[in-house]
Amino acid sequence: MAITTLNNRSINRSDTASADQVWTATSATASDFQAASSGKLLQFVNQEEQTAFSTTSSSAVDSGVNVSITPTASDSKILLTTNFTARTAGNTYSSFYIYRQIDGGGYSELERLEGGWHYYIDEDTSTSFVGKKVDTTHNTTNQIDYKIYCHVQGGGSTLSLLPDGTNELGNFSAMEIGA
Amino acid sequence: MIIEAILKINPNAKVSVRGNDINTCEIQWHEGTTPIPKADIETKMSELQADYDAKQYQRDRLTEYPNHNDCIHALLDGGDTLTELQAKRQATKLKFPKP
Repeated sequence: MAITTLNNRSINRSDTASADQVWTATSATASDFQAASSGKLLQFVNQEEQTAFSTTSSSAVDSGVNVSITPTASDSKILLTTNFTARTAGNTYSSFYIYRQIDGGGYSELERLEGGWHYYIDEDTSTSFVGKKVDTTHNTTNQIDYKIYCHVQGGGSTLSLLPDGTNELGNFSAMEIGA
Repeated sequence: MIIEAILKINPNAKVSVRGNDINTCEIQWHEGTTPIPKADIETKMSELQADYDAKQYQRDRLTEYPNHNDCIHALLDGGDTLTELQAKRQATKLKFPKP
């Protein structure tokens, strides 16, 4: 009679699974029912912003557009999306970035936003800026704070976000997606 | 308007402003820029607003002046067409007089 070895992970629970759970390895020697979260949205946080912000700085500064999320898993991905109106004076080139702070440890640049490099905005037109990034390196279940930083890249003088203040609405969203 | 006023006082100012109300906004000065008192900024804002208001007649006239195409055609055609266009322009000027 053949002896079949299923695997080297011990079955350490005898209860039944909940809906949408799968049996999976939880360590090198153990297994358990776990949420089948891969690729699924685990949580969604949206932060609205209506405060006007203007800068003439040529180095990245905090725009005030921010969102915070506390991941449920350290290996999850955080999809960040943002949209807000922007306007410049004097046909200014502008750059936008996402800065990240983990567990209150201080902000540092995570990445430049797509479309944020030499983003050209006409001086007479408010443009809707849309950016998106996926944070795959947070490696934490502590609170993560994200902020939009920006600066004038050249060409003109002033970059304004949500220039008409309370008449406009910007959003910065964080979505935790299972690994 | 706040940052415009700041740049009128110091065209090279590196500054960020959060909010549209001079009384409640947060102002951060960057790259060694010497801070400007809010009172001075407010004074400059008043000057800029007065200048903007004084030029209201220009913005009003623009809404009723014949458009560029009409002007080009009138200049090319001359005669009555040009005379009529000049009359329209003059009527607009009278409707929105310069203060």
